[in-house]
Amino acid sequence: MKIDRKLNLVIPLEREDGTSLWIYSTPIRKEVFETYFLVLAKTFSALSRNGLDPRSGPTVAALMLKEIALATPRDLETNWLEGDDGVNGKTGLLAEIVRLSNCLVGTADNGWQTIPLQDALDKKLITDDEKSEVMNLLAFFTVSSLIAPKQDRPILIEGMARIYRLEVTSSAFTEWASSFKTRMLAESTGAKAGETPSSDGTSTS
Amino acid sequence: MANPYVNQGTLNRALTSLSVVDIPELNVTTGYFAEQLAVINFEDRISDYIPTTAGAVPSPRLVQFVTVRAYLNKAQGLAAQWEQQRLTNAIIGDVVVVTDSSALPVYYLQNCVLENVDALNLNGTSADFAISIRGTYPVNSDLFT
Repeated sequence: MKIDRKLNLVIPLEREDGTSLWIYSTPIRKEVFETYFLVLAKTFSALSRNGLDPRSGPTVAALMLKEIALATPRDLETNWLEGDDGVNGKTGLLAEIVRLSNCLVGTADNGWQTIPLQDALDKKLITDDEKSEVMNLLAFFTVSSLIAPKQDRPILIEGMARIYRLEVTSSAFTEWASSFKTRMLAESTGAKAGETPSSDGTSTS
Repeated sequence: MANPYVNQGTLNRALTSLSVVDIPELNVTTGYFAEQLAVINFEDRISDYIPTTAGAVPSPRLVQFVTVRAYLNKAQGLAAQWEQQRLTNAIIGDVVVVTDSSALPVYYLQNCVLENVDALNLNGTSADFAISIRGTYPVNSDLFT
């Protein structure tokens, strides 16, 4: 797998009540990376230094990013966490990661619906715990795909995807969503024939 | 008499956003709008009403064309992203517009194009970088059932 800026991450959120939605997120732009390179690089170093690999890193990466931003001075008075364009600001790095993300939601009334991640958050379609989970995964994806040594990037991204059952795709959203819906249809058709689709995409009798 | 004291709801301009499904770097959220945010203009009619001698024949249309005018903040890099899009490809695909009312559904527009960029005021008094997006809004879905 070649890890580059065209690679997108798909995060499934499957709940106990049977509802589910999928978050599709694209990487940050080069200009954004060049603004936040220092905190991103320090976050990757902190994850590595603390032994936070693809098993544990994706559950805390956003927290680590914020902690690093808070501890990194921007000038004599401010740090990289605060302010509108700070990491946690309304046009900052985390807001940018949310801006670059869409949700595919299955609804009873309107079938599949595409909405921005921000809209899903505003409408409470995603709980606070799920938001935290998603932001940590996206922060790990951002840091690992942009900062890690090139030869380590596939190991980190593929490892995270395998452990957390995520999907990494180079397809644009519409293309991915179209193939995803086809897969879901095939799975549900298979299930009706007496099989139960498992979470890793295979079917069992 | 009906109860007049029903909850009137609230508007929240921070909800307004515009999402370009296949080009997320063009997505516009609250922090990137100028003061006027966005306006959706629905063109033509949802249904025709064709006169006959004795009355009229309703003829619902399948789609409606829609123009979204979004006022971006030209002091931010996102306006430059849209300018770059103008230079490279006006076809932007599907667009989702979220309104300032949480009671309304999102508007999913198909096959959109970047139709134009409004006149730019360069005298230092306007932050507007106004773009017009034109797309198709499917209506009357019952016609297919």
